[in-house]
Amino acid sequence: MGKMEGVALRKSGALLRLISSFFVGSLVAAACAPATTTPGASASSNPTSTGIVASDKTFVFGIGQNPVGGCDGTQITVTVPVGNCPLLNQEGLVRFDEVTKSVAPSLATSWTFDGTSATFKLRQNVKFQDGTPFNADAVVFNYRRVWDTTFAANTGVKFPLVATIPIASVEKIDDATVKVNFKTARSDTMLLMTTFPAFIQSPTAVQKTTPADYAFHPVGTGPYKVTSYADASRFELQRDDSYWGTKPAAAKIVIVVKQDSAALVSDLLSGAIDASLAPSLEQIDQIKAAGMTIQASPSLVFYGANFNVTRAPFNDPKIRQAAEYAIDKESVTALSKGSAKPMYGAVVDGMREYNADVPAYKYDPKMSGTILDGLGWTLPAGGKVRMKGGQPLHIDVIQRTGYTGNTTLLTPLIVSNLQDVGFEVKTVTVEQALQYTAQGYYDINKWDLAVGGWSASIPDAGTMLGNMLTANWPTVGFNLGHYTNPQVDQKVAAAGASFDEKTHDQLLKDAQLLVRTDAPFLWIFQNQSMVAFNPAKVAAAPFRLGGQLDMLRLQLK
Amino acid sequence: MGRYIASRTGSSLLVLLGASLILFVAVRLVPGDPVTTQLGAAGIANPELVARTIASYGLDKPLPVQYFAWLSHVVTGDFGFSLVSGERVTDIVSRRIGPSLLLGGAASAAGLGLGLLWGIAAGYLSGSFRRVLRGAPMFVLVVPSFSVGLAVVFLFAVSLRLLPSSGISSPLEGDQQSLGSLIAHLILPTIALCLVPASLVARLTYATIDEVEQEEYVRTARALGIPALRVAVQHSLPNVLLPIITTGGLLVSALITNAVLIESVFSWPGLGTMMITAVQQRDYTVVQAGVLVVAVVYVLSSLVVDGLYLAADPRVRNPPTE
Repeated sequence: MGKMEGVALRKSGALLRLISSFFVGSLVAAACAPATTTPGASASSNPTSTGIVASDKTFVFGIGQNPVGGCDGTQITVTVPVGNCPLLNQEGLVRFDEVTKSVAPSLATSWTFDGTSATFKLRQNVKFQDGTPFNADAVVFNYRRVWDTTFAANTGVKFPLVATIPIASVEKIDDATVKVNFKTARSDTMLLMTTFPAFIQSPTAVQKTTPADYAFHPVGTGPYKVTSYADASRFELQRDDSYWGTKPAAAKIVIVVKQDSAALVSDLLSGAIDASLAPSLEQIDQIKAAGMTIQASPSLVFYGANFNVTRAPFNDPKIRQAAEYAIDKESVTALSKGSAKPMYGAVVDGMREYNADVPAYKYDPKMSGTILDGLGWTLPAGGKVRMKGGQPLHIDVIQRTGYTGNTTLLTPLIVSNLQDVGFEVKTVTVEQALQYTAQGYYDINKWDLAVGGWSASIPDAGTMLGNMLTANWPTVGFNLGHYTNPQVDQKVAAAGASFDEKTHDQLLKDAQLLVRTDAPFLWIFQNQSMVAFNPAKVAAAPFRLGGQLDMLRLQLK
Repeated sequence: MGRYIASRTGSSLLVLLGASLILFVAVRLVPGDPVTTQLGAAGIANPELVARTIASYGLDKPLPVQYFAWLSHVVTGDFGFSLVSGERVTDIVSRRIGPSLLLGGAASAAGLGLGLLWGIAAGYLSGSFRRVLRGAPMFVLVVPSFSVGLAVVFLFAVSLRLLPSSGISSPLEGDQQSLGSLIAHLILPTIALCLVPASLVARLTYATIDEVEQEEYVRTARALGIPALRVAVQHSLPNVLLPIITTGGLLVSALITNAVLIESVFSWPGLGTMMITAVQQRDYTVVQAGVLVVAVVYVLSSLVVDGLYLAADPRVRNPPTE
């Protein structure tokens, strides 16, 4: 499911880059097609290996954020934990291939999917890092551990993202085959099966210790063993040379977590670390001057603000449109030093369902003024605030503390641009920890515009729109502004149930047109993930499409 | 003396009990809760799921029930589990207390030593040196310690590259750290942390010297022609130490307050950074454990101060009888 920016991570720039979706770009053919059999694959069935040479080198990577405990993918609260640790240590039956942008074999070599069930053929001769065998029993154990509340291993463990995959039951057909039954027929199911809750771990290791301890000593089938995990402030992973797939470049990965990203830049410049995620905008020039490389990659993470559609003035879609025209989204690109790209619609440019025909809300303050004039909100002579019936065009903008990097640009941009066209703006700031509580954004009576961001945990625009704009809030999704449009709901739901790629995409393109008119969200910029690295040590540092460094495809010098 | 020690120990235990109650209530009074915060970060707002998760942590029970349940475990050394990471709080605190005590100890020693030298110099030197040394503590006290931290990082780590900028070890060392590396990592945070206590000690020292120098026994000693250095060492300075011992508790308090900031600036993996993170995440169990540990350190240091005072001042050791 999608998610809003979180509190667990202090650095908001890093925040949504880290808790964001795993993927961006064109989508997944295999994911949408029912009754599809994916051919078995061997050489290409783990992360694409072009240019990757296994070395004996160590890669030291710095991340500026709050530590988030543990490396057990199934127990992770936020979608992407520190350093993406589970992705280095554990694997699912299927994975999202960052190069082909498709669901690809992983611990399963092939599968059939008919919408409500999937049958997986399991890879043979794979062992967990503790030497125990991976087989159908292990898959059944893992899925029952997460989804079966009557199962002993489920007791006392919290699986916060369990609801994101609609698994109903799992059956062992034989040692090399399992069948998974789903509660609902959804076109995004196979994509969801690539995410953390479906990761497979050693039943022996899981049962050997308590869930809390296990989270810091996880045992999967992935290319790296967790050898040290100290309080999530520094952890080490050692390459498992008996790994079944292509071995990644770094023999050892050391991840250093510091709350102060400036400290990481000092570490990078002094040679203590090889790369640092999300350097602050203020330090980019300094980093470049020191001969380091800054690399930016597009991501699905985007920022803007929710309109509160339950009360005036933004209960009127025309006023929301006026606000959309008032924001100079292009200015963000220059100020953000390449870490942001203007965004004009509900779906990120680059996703398969992106509808290029949706008219963009380009910066046009005159148009904004014309709309407001037409609605009777006029500027009195010499005045700066529009009035109607003696009342000012007043809005309360809510933001949280702790924004860094390009996200620091959001509120000033919104406030100044809206003031320019005649809004009277008051800013309310809540502590980061209270952002998603009744004392913060959940109190719909407190704000008219809520500054924030959004990401998706899978690269499916339908899933994202369904969560972001669903009418079922708060039971389902995260529709903070309480936007509803039955037509949008219908189209998104139909896309979710459609296994025909063309139909699926068309329904979502139609939904984007409706959403464009309704303007329930003030889209401002698409985040570009940034990493600073030492070119003497790192040859290539590709990103996962959601914004995390893809350390399985790293190339070292 | 035995009664005195027993009385101080008993009152210290009462202080700790009171502190535990106050901090438990205070933490709960802070708006927000760990469950809503964490689930919100994960994009989950479902009220039923939130309520179920809150109940699973026992956070739906009345506060007195929660407090006594927590206290009954704490007295056995069990601080429960982190509400965020699920890790044992005892394990987290155990990892963090060592670096904090190391930094606090180093800063205390440096602060005391530097402050005494500074104060003595300011007390006995004359001319412009005296004026500078007497004005400097005020200057140091008005400069926030984290600014000093940032400045020394820029100078010694980024510009001169003489010392590591942050952390307790270099990334590649991990647990296998050399003593030299540990000391190198300790120097900058210690400098940043020791300046405030050093300034306090310096001010107190030269003020006390001024006072003692006016005492009759000192003036008599001088009148008898005893050399100034001997007068200072034998008669003045022993009496200067008493008020410094008395304020030792205050120095610990200043150290703890500043350590939270300094640990953050230097990414020092101590209790300060642990507390900041825990408060941000509303990780009640970790906050409670952290504050209680700090309270214990404070109370123990007060007891030590009392002990030192007892040893240093015969009037306390052997109170006059009617």
